[in-house]
Amino acid sequence: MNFDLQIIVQNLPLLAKGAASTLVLVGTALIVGTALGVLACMGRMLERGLFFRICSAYIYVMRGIPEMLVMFWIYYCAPLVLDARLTPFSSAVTAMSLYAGAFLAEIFRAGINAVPSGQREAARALGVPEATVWLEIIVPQAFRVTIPAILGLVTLVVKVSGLASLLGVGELVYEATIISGQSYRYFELFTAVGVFYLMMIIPVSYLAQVYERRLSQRAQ
Amino acid sequence: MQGQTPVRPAQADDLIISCENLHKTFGGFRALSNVSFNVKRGEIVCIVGPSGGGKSTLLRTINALEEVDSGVICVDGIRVPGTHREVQKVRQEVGMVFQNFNLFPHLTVAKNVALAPMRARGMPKEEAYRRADRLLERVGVLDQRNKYPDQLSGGQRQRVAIARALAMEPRALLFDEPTSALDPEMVNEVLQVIKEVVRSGMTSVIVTHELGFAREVADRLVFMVAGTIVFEAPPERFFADQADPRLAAFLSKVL
Repeated sequence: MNFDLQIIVQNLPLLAKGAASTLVLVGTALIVGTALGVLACMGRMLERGLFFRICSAYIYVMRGIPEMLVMFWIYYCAPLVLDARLTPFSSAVTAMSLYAGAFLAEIFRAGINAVPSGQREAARALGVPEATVWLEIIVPQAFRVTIPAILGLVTLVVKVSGLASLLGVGELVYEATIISGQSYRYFELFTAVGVFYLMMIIPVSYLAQVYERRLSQRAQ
Repeated sequence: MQGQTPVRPAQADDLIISCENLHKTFGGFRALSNVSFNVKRGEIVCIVGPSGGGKSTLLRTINALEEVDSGVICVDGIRVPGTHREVQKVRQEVGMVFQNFNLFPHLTVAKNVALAPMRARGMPKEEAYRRADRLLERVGVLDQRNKYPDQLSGGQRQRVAIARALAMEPRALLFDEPTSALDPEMVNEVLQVIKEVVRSGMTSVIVTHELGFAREVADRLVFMVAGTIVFEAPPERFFADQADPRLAAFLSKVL
């Protein structure tokens, strides 16, 4: 068995391009997903009514079915439903955003529930506007406890982004598949892909660790 | 104009808080049962009684943290519950100090105190922080102004919470068992601060288990059992008469 490092070096520009595309996918999905998550979280907290039920169903379905299915469904069914063809990239971003949004909604909700009710009462008892109660008292405290969970989700979304290769989005896995298909150097290229993913995920995990350590120190 | 008080004739029975026939149940539990309760301007009222008697619930209904099932509450001329704006006005006029302090852990001590004047009254930042410093000095924790609440002792936290309530310059203060969550050696420092505050003329309603303190500061003591006011009297009579057998039983247990 020989491991030909040369093939990786030769194709580094292509792999880097794929990695950049992965980052764009993940970044976009996280931004749109955050907006969806906030909306769905607010819907869930209403606890009754049509919007609550729509949000609950969305979260339940997205968390319950494989992400690959969502991607395929959007890519192949959107033309039939919407009478418009989505590009592979926008299909993948839509699917990943929906996925991230559903998980983030539950993370946000758990964070808000973790803030003691006394905080809300103390803020309201001061007679400050409701916007202050939420934006300056509840959300910052909720955000602190959810940071580890959010970072965990970020790593999950990075990993899930590999599925976009199945639609033909030119991200990391896709580029590696193409190059290795031509050179038959599967071992080298997919090892390189693994290293690329780790380089993206390690900083995030490290941040999560540092943060969790700080949280547990503060709690003492 | 906002912040200005309408001039009203000073009357001997000028009520700042009036509650009539309040009823409140939690599930099947009757927390308040036909409670009528008034507080005059400048009066210090201490509410005592066994746990679960409705003392805290009564306090919490006054600033609409708890909604009554029926009855009328009037705070400084504003009916509660009312519109959101009216409720907010009442909460600005009536400060509250909680058993568990409920300081905002992510804000510095100074910001805990300065936040409400800035957000509820639109006070400029510098002025709000100046006021915060003045109040922190008054309660004796100015040297802690840049710390976070979890770096303070329980007694210091409660003193900051009192400064936070005072920062809104309320017409009245509600204290909900302000020393019950404190270690014994810290009770006194907080009671001293409360004494100073009530003696400065602040209308106050204090739910407390500290009967010695209540006897010392109160103009009137109110005894609550099972969601009703059983007996109320000025301190001398309250402790001397023991007119009601339930009050006699309670006093014999705690004194």
